Amino acid sequence: MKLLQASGNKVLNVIVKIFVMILMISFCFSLVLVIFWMLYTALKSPVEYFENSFALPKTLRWSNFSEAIRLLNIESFSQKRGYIVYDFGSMLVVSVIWAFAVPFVSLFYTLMVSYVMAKFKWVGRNFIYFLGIFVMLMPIYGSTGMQMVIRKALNMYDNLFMTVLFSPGYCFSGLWFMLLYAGWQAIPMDYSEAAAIDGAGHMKTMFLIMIPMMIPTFSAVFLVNFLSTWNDYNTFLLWLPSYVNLSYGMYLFQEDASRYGAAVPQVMAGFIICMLPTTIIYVAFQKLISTKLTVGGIKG
Amino acid sequence: MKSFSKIKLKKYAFVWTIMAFPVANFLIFWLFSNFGSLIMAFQSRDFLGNVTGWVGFENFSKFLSDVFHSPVITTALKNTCLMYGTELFIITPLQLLFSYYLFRKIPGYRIIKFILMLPAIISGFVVCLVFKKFVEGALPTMMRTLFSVEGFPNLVTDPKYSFGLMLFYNVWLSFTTTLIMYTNAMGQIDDSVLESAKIDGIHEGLQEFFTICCPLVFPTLTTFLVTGFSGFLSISGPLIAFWKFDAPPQLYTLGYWMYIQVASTTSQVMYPYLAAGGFVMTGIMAPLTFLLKHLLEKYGPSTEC
Repeated sequence: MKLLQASGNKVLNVIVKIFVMILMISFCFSLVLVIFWMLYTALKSPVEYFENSFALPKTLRWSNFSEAIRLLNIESFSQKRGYIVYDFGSMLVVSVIWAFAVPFVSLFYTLMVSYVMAKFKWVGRNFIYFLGIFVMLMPIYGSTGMQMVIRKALNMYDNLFMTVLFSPGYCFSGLWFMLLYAGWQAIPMDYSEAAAIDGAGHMKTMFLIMIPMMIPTFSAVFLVNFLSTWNDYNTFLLWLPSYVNLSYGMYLFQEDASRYGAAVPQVMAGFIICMLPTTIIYVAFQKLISTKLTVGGIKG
Repeated sequence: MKSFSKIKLKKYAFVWTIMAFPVANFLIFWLFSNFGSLIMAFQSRDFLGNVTGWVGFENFSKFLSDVFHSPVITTALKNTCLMYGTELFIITPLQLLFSYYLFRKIPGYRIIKFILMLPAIISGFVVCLVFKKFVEGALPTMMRTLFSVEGFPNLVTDPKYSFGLMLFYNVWLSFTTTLIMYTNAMGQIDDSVLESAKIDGIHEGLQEFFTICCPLVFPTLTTFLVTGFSGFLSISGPLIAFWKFDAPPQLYTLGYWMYIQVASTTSQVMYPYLAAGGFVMTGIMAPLTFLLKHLLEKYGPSTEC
C-alpha cells in the first residue's frame, strides 16, 4: 500500500524515469560499442589489431571479407558420414535449408494443429490442450541421454532430413502454439461456415479460407524462428555433428582461428557475413515482427 | 448412432489426420523417452550403451550424495541458483520497467527499442562471441587508452571475475524478444482504461505501472515466470557459446554439466546416473512449478472489479 502511495509522488516518478532512461541508454551504448567494434575490427589488418585492438583502422582492409570466406573451411567427421570438408558455399547451403525448412515445417504443422484445437470440438481436445500445458510446465531433466538413444535407434541422429521432418515435435505445446492458438481464436468462423455451405471440405476450408487469414501472424512467428534457426549452432553441436551450417562453422572457426590461418579481423569479417541475412530480414520486416508477437496466460 | 453420422466421421477423420503426427511424436519423444529414462536410472551401461546390470537405487543415492559432497555439483547448483536469481530479481523487473517506458513512448523510444533488439536481429550467438572477443581483446586496451587503467584483467579467464561476467552477460542480453512481448501486451490495454484511471487520479509513471499495467500484463508475466522457473535447473547461460565443452568447473551450472556429459563424449556410461539425477531434479521441481502457477493465479493481481 505504501509502495502504491509513494508511486504517486511526482518527484519519485521523475527520478525513476531518469534512472530507467540512463539504464536503457547505457545498455544501448554498450551494445552499439561492441557491435561498432566488431564492424571496424573487421576492416583492420592483423598487425594493426595486434598493435592496438581498440583503435580505429588506419586504412580499410576490405580483403578481410574475401579472406574469411576463403579460410572458412571446416572439417567434420562422423562414423556415419566419414570425413567431410565444408567450404563457405556448402555451409551456406546447409544454413539456408536449415533456416527455411525447420521453421516452415514445424510452424506450419503447429498452425494446423492449433487450428484443429481452436476451431473444432472433438472428444479428447481438452485433454490434449491440458496435456500441452502440462508438458510445457513439467520440468524434465536428464532425459538427453535417452533422447540420444532414441534418435540413434530411429536413424535421426546426424541425419538432417529426419531432424527437419521431426522438427514439429509435439506441437500442441509451447509458446508458438499458444500464440497461434490465440490468433485462431480471434478469427470468426463465419467464413469457414460459408465455405462449408458452399460444399468445401475441412481440408479445403483450412488451406484456402482460414490459413490465408493467419498469414500475417504466421509470417511474424516464422521470421522470429528464422532468425533463431539461422543462428542455431547448438542443434548441430548435439544432434547433427557432421553437418556444418554457417553459425556452427563460425563457432568452430573463431574457437581455433589460428589453426585456419585467420586472425581476429578475419573472424569479425566472418561474423558480419554470417549475420547479414538476418539483419536484412529483420530491418525489412521490423514492423510485422514487433506488432504480431503477443503471448497471454497459461490457464489450465 | 447419431454420433457416428457422416459429418462427424469426416470431422474426426480430418482432426486425427492432423493430430496423429504430433501425438505420435509425443508418445515417442516425451512419454517413451521419459519412461525409458526412468528405467535407465535403475541400470548400469557400458561405453556403447549395452545394459550391464540393474543397480536399484544406486544411481539415485550416488547423485544425492554428490549434490552435497561433490565440489563440482555443489558449485554447479550454487551457480544455477545465482543465475536464476539474477533472472528473477534483476532481469524481469528491468524488462517490465523498460517495456513500460517504451510503451509510454519516452523520447527516442523507437531507436532504443531497435538497439535493444539488435542481439536478436544480428544473432545472439554472434553478439555473444563478439562480446567475448571484445572483453578479452579490446577492453583491457580501452581501459588503458581511455582511463589509464594498467593491467586490467581478462574478465573471461580470470577466476575472480569470470562468473560475474556470465551474470552480467545474461542481464546485458536479456532485452530482446521478451521486451517486445511485454510492450505488445501493454499496447493491448484499452485507451479507455488508461483514460479512466487518469480521471481517478492515477498518474502516468510508477502508479500507472503498478496499478494498471502490471495487473493487466500479469497473465503474460505469469507465463514467463512459470516457464522460466520450470526450466531453471537446466540454465546454462552463455557457457556453451563461451567455452564449448571446456568451461572451468567453477563456472558450471547444472544444465551445462549435464549437457557436456552427453554432448562431449560418445560414451554412454554416465547416462543412467544422469537419468537418475534428472528424476531427482524433476521430483523437486515439478510440484514447485505447479505450486508457483497456482499461487500466481490465486494471489496475483486481479483485473476484475
